Amino acid sequence: MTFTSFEFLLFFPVVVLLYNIIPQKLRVWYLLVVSYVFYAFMQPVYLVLLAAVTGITYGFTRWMGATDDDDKKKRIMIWGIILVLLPLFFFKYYNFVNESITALLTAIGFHTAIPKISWMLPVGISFYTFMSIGYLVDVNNEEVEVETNIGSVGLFLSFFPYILSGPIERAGNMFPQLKKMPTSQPSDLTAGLKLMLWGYFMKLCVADRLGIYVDAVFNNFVNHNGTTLAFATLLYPIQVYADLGGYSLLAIGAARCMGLKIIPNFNRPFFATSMSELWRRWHMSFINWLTDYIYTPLSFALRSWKIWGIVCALMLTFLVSGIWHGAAITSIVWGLVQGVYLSLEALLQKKRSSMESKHNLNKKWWYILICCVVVYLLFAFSQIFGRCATLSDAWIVIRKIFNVRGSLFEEVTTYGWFSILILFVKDFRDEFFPNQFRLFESSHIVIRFISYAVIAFLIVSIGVLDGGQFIYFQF
Amino acid sequence: MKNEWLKLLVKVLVFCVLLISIDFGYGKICRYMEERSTVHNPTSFTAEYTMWHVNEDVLIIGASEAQHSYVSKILADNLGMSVYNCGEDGQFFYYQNAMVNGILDRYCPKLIIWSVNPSFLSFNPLAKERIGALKPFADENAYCRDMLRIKSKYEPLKIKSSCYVYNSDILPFVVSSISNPVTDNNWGWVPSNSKASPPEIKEAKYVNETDETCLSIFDLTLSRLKKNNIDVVFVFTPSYETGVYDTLDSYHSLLNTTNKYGYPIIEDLYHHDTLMDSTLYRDNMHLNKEGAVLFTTMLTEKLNYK
Repeated sequence: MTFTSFEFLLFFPVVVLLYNIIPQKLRVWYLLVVSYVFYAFMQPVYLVLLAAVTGITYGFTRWMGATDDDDKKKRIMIWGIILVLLPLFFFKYYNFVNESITALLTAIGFHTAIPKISWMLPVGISFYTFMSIGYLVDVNNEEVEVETNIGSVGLFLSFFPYILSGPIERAGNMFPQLKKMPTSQPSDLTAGLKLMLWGYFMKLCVADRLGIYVDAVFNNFVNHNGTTLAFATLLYPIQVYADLGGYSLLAIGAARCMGLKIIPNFNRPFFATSMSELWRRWHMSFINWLTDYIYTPLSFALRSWKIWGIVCALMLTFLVSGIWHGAAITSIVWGLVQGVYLSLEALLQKKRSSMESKHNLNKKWWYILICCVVVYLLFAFSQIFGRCATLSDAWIVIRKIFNVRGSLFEEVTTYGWFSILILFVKDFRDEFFPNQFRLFESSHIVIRFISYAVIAFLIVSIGVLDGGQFIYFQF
Repeated sequence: MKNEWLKLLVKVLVFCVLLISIDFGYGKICRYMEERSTVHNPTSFTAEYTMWHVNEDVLIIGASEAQHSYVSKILADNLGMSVYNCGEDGQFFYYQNAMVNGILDRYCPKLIIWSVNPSFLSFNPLAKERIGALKPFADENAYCRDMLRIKSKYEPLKIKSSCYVYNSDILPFVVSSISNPVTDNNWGWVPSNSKASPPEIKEAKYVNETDETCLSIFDLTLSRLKKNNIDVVFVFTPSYETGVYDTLDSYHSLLNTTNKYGYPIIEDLYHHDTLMDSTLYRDNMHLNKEGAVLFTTMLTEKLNYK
């Protein structure tokens, strides 16, 4: 069962209704059971893994809470992190490391065969593992109190709106809410349903519509010319944004219907005027996680290296980001390319700032537009490594883009363009005119209702209703 | 608080009424344009034309290989009967059975030429995925409704929404409705041109296992055809492939079922020496225009012989 399945449309209202009917003190356990049932619809066998990570997280945080010795606490944290990382390593990275070692040994003359595993990657493992690590570190840093209710820890890691694709929640945000388990208010329901409506539009009308074209081109890149590949490369970031951004809104909206507030994940990333700004707007929960648990400690540790310490911290942080995104060289290269972009930006920051303030460029629309376009192009280029299966495939795509001209493979339907236009107009309004031309938030009930109805109508009439999975399910 | 909930409930009800009204109105508009488009441009709306309008003596049923390979005019000239090619690109077992049954609800053609392959009765995920093409007919055709259940148990519920039934259809309807009528001089046959380079021969991918659901659907369709005294000829349409299929379970199931009702299968044109020429093909699965003319001529001899 996924958010876009018909089963979910039947499941969700029942869950919300029962949540509000049952006594407050039972709600944590109720949602825990619901979340496990939701997960079981996808991969029942891997519930064991989820329960094990929950048990380890709970046990180790309680152990940390029981000691006053900082060193001992740190040691417990490290062992906790190692233990929760083991399943992630085993399921996601074992084969990659195995193949790399085998290739290395073969290259130096040793022929050996280490057995491979062919088990399916547990859905959401990267997300709940990172949430667990975040909680362990927060407890060690005394940023959150140790949660004594195992039900709350279980629900924090498995809450059905975000278990499959995030946002990567933080203990500091969730545990206080899980203690209260508020009853839904009418305003929560309307706010949640609005977010879900827009999430469905982004996923079904934009992401899945573009996915048809992007998949057709990238899955058969050998037979497409550079013009078509360049065009698909330009569309791919929009597809990912609409896919993960749409999923995130569905997750945030679903939680909001139960009065729970999940952290946001996207903030109109394509209006960013620099790569660092883009990464403050794109997959925010993940980037904030990386910033708090990797980048900040690293840059602090390397502060004596000054700007080069920041560069090293950026490169290492985005190396981890690349590894998190996939057990493949392409993902690592993708992460390193982001690191290079951000490092160059950090190195040139002073010059750029002084030029901008000297000519007052930040207020000029054409400068903002140029910056947005450049950032988009750089990001789209880097996404080639995220989309291609191997480095050689990515290289062929890049070479074709710059060398092989031809006519465009025109298969993006009018529905696709229309949906992108609506998404762009909405994001543009939210970015530059947040208090004007309101539709969903209009004070006029007729305008509000018509705008809901139009979006609902578009979802069912032009959305791709038999579309694929969410892109981030694979992570 | 109670008042707020009451207000919300009223708003939700009003919104639902609004949505249902839009859905109903949209359904009516789409249905009108669908009928208009079918009359204006039958070859672009093959499913609708087959289900509602076709009335020829001889019908060709099949997927894209049928659509491109059977020249209706050659068959009509040789058989002395009117012919229409109902082949539809990318539509396989379930669709074809639904169409045959839909036609039988309206009239009885004299002969059906049904393009199949040795794995016709095995499970094809694409065929299941594309059952959705039958949505517009589900309202009035119980057979299509039953077929849609194969796709998902929720389909009968989903098709209550016209927006769902006509999902992504509005633009083709609008374009066809406002454009000038197109006369179909080829009676459903869609000639396909050769590509720059002819295809290279490849190994056919057959599926051994018979799908029991397909087998029972097929058996029911054939019994209905037999009951209506309609002649049916199954033809293995040529493909530029190699491969042995006579050991396949799915092939034997097909053979047994057609034998049960006394319907012949013409197999010898499938990998016929004359037709194993790459210049006659657009790709491995589809004959080009010249190939289609040659194959149909050869087929008429077989049909005359029979």
